[in-house]
Amino acid sequence: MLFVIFSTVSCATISSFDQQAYTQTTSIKVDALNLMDLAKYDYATQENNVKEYLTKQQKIYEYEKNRPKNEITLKLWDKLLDKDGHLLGGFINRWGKESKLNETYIVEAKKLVDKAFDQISGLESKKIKPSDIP
Amino acid sequence: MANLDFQNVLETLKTEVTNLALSTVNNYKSEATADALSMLNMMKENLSTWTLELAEGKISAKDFEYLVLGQKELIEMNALKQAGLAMIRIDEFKNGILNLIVKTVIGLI
Repeated sequence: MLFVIFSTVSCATISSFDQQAYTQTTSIKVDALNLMDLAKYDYATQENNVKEYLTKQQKIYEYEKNRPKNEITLKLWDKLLDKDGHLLGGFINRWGKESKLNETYIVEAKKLVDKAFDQISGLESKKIKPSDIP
Repeated sequence: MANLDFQNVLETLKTEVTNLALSTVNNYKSEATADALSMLNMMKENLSTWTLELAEGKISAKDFEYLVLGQKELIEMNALKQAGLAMIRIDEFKNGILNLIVKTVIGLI
C-alpha cells in the first residue's frame, strides 16, 4: 500500500530547478536589453548583432524545449518571443520593418521585456531543487 | 519488527497532512496576491506614463498601442507564472506528504 502511495505522490507535476536554465535566462536578458538599445540605429547597420543575439536565444529555447515537464516555461518563452506579439519578438520584428524605433518607446518597451524575463527566471528560481526531491 | 498501530499512524498523518495543506494554501495565496498587486501597480504607473508621453508627442499612437498590448501580454505571462507556481506548490505538498509518512511511520515503530 505504501508503495502505491509513494509512486503516486512522488511523480512530479513540473520540472525541477535547473541552474543552467536559470543562468542562461538571466544572461540572455542582459543581451536582449542591450540589443533593444540598438533599435535607435538603422536595423540594417545592426543586423549582425541581431543575428548573433537570435542564435543565442535559439540555443536557450532548444534547451528549454527538451526539458521534461517544462510546458509552462516554454509557453512563457513563446509569449516573450512571439514575432506577432508586442514583447521582445514583436519589438525586433517591428524594428526590422520600420528600420529604427523611437528612443522613448525603446526605454518603455525595455521595462516590459525586463519584467517579462523576470517571469521566466522567477518561476525557475521557485522550482524544487533536485536535492530536495525525496 | 515492532507492532505497528495503523490506526494511530493514520490519525497522526491526518492531522499533519491537514496542517501541511493549510500552510501550503495560505503561503501560496499570500505570494500570489502580492505578485498580482505588484503587477497591477506597475500597469497603473505605466499607463499614466505612456498617456503623458503620448500627449507630449514623445511616443506615437503606434508606440502607445504596442506598449499597451505588450503590457497585456506581460499580464498573461504573469498568469502563466502563477499557474507554474501552483504546480510547484502541488509538488512541494506531495513531497511534504512523503516526508510526513516516512517520519510518522518511523517515529511510531
